[in-house]
Amino acid sequence: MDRLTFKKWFEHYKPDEETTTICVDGYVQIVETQESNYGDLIAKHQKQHHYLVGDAIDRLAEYENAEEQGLLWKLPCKVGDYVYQINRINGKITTHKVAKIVLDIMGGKDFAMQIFFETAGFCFSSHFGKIIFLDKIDAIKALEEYSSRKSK
Amino acid sequence: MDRLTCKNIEDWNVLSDVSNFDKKGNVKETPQCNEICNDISYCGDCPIQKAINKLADYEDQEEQGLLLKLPFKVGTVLYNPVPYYYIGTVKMNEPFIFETKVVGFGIENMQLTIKAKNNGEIREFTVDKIGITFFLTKEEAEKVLAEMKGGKNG
Repeated sequence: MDRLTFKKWFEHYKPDEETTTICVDGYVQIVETQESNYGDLIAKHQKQHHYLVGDAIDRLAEYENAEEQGLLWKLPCKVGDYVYQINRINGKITTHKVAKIVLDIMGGKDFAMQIFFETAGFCFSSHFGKIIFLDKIDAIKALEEYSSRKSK
Repeated sequence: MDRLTCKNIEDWNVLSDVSNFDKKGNVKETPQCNEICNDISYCGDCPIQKAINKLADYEDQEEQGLLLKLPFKVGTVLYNPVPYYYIGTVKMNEPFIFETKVVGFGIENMQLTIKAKNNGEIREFTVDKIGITFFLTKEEAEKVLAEMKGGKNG
């Protein structure tokens, strides 16, 4: 997911103050370019309840910075959750309880998130939505879709 | 950390303090978007709304326990002072600092675990060992090493 915030210096802020603002659709133009509608809109918002918008943007920037620095990872599930694995060969659904989640460096700089089950085996986070589902109904649907595609 | 976003009655992500309605559904007297913007029908295009939506996603995930916050990055070197160590089967009775490189993290039994590698040997320990047996700086580890040496000599 692309960043929505970036760090920028502003003339009207103290010279040593670094602040974060919104990056509109990837363009670094907010607030400085007052002819921009968005810049104008944000200026109005900041005037009306600037501290609230500012707090939210600071909070968002914290999340984005942490994610960018590899300090924040989105988990596909929690330890203790039940997940449903589809088997396209025999058409069966197996239920697993998540026992452990591991983030490992694989090879050079690539990371892999492995989800270990209480029973046996594991899957990767990239398997979610493909062969592993958090909802049994979604697993059934995926299996049905696969069967219908196969029969065509 | 308290949430900054919530859903309003129309199921939009809004900043809690700028929401049209409080949690009980009463109208709040705070400045609203429509007081300063004529384009509220295009809120979906508003960069502030996009930022709020993204923040709401993070806050939702954190609330659901689906965000893993790490104390430091993979690749960080940790210093592990030990009172003795082995070379093969020979015990060396000399305090020493091992440098271990973090290669992964895990979540097990509601605890964050750290996986660190030292000379091909993988060690796994819980995050609460940081500052006790594993240190982020060599200086901290050296202090503990000095205490070990002092204890040994004294």
